[in-house]
Amino acid sequence: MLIKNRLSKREPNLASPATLRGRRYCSWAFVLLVAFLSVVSVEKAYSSALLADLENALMCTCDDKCGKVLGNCTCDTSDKIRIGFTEQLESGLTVQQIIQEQVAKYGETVLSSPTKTGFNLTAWAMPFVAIVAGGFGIRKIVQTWAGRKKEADASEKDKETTDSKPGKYSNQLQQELDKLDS
Amino acid sequence: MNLVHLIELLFLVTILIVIGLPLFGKLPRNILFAPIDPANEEFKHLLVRKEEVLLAIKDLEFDWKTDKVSEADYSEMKHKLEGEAMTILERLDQLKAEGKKRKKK
Amino acid sequence: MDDFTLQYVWAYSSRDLDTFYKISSFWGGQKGSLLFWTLLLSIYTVIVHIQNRKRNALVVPYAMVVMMTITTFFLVLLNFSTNPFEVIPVPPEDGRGLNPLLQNYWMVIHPPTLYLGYVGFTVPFAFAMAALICKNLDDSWIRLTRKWTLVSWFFLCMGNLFGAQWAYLELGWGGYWAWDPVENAAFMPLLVATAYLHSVMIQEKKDMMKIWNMSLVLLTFVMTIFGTFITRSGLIQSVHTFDEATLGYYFLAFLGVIIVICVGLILSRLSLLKSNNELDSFLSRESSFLFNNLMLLGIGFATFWGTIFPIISEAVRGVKITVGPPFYNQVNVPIGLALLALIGIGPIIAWRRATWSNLKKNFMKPLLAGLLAAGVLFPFLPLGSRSEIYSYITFVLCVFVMTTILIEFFKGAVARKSLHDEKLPEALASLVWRSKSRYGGYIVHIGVVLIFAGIAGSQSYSAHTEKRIKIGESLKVKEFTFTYERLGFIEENATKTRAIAQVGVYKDGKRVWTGQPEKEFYKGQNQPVSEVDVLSTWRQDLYLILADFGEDESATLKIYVNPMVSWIWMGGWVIAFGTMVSVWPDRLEQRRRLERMKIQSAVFSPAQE
Repeated sequence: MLIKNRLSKREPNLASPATLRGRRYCSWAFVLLVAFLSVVSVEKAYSSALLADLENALMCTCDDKCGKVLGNCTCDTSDKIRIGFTEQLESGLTVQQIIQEQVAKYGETVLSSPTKTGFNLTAWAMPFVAIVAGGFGIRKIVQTWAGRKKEADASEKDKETTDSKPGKYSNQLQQELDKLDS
Repeated sequence: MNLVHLIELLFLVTILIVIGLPLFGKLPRNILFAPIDPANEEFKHLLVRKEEVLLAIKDLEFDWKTDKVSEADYSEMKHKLEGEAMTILERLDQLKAEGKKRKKK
Repeated sequence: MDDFTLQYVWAYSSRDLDTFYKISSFWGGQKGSLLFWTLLLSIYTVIVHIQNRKRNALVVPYAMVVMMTITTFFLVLLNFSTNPFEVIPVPPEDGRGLNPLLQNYWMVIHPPTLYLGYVGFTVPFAFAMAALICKNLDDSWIRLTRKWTLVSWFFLCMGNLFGAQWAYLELGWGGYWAWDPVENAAFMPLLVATAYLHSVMIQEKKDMMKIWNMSLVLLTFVMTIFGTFITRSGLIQSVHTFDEATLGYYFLAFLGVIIVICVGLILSRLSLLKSNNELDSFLSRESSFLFNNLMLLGIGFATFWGTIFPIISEAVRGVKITVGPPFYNQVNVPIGLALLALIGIGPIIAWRRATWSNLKKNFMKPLLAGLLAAGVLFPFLPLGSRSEIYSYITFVLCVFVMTTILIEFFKGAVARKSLHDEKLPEALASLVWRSKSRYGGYIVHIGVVLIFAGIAGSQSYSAHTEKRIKIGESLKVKEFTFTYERLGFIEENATKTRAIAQVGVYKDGKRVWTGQPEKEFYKGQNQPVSEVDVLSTWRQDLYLILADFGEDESATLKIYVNPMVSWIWMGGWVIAFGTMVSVWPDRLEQRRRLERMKIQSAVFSPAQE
């Protein structure tokens, strides 16, 4: 925001304050929306969808390392794993407990996405950090470029008043424009 | 010598002919070895730029008709683009005169 | 055809394989696919040569050198590392046969389409390199390769969609995209290329952002090689990994060399690439394109990051982890939604300088349409989970974007009508015809909107069940009742036996469809292959899988009801149509080009383009 304020002070006629404010609201609303959506937890478990949650959270552990998430795997092993999970769920284990047990057995590889702790957090944060940084970068660049144009215009206007372009070229321009249309 | 070999032979001959043909063809060699002429390059580039600016004027008119820009912005932008176009036309004329002079030599 | 002295033929074909699949087994394995790649690259090189045999004598030779160098790399691989013509000393009687999963007509369509796109990006890359090498750095290389880029983009896009459709119909898990490393590898160049297609317009119009466009086109090619590296290295687990993935280091080295050369060339030509970057206003199509680039590259980066994160994690923590679909869905969906919104906002903003008040006015209708859609959809759509909220937002945005695009067509047609005294349909047709690339682009956007809608619908509102039932018993999914009626067997040929279940589908007591999911058994393969049966309508797909069956003829049926999947494929065809409109030769443009040549040869002889 700091950068923005400074820039808008330097180029007061870039956009009216009202539009700036409107744009700022928009961008903040957008950031908030994204933040809200990424924070709302998905841990809401429907009793019928518990297995689906497991299938989504864990990889298939078959021998030939198919590298698929359990829900996408159709091999025999995956069927057995699913039956095993259903039994475990029926015996009263929670999804979290089963996942923990699986991690203890196979290591972190079995999780279908990185945990949101420690170093793995970089996996989640990096893309958004990059986009936000890029966004600010682009805004700064665009404002600089737009500003540069303003200065160039100002100097050009001074020049134009002194030398008036010969009418010859404006005629030619009109001709060429007409030709473009046919 | 079966059919496959015959086809292979034909294939080989065709390839040799296609590859070898340019060696006997007549290419305007001056195109290939002419040094790059900066005036020519600039002329070429400006012709493209002129076209783009003209198209931009057309686009601007269209944007105005479809109500994307206001009257004020339209006339200001149009004025500026026309200025740009005329600068290019002027420079093109200069280069043209220069080129013609050189051609006569 | 059946020359089993060749090891490759033995490994991927057999005598009673269909001719159709014999052709596809050409690219069924690593060696063959590299040979296929080389073949396509050579064909492209020849086409470039023929197109330019009498013009562009300055740039084309360099471009040819670049393309030939790349061809040489592949030829070296083929000759010294993975020779596809390796001979077995004692030729066997019959081949091993093609993997049954690959015996599907998509195998004939999907890889060539994808490769056509993948290899196609070599051409813009080569021309960009050539421009850098011979310091001919205005936008002529862009104009020369515009069609190449569009066509390659199109093939890559269709290749991805065909791959999705194949996965959907063949792999039998009810989905179409798994964020598998290899899917990512094909997806990333597509994103970078899309960014390039947009930002390049700024350079064409205003002669600026040269460095950026140059970098994007080089990055696109680097991404295709990176994708190949992933597939061939066996570094990352994937469905697509070839049996003998041993070429990783070659591609890594190649990748390194390319990156070093690209960066070096750009740095050494930096002063020539400097352009007078000016924007007339913050509020312009140009700046909206920059943000579109940001979003596209953002998704690209997130995908790239997720793909390589297992390696990073192993290097940093020593722990191997998996980055799977949940990661990509959570990270890419919000960015994708922002991108979708931009598709709607972009067309309203004028080039160079848009007027804020006009913009607000033009926003009203699409915004109202969006809000209306939000209101209408609200009571009907459940909003219980994050994915359902996302889908709801996606639908609203789709309506918004669709409205802006349609208004754009309508307004243009009205403006033209008033100018040229034409009837509205006529005006619309000539509007599109006269600016093909612009309106073709908008048509492509419509296709993209359809794809977004299809993904939103199928990701959140699908239902499935899986149960072992006896003949005569029924399962109920959503409003449909599926009755298992009988089980039959067909011995197709010596190697293939099919087990077919017949399932009657009822809705409100009325029979709507008879589904016949199959399981196919191939001799010499332990795993049978499921052939799903799908009834696809615009509302939903009924998707049946025969998972298993017993001796008492009881069967395990997996049933999915996936809404709106067909919208995705429909979107693909709309994209195809839009691309066709875009690349259709433009008479006016050609005339202008010839005119330019004429003027130039009159002044400076001889003319060079």
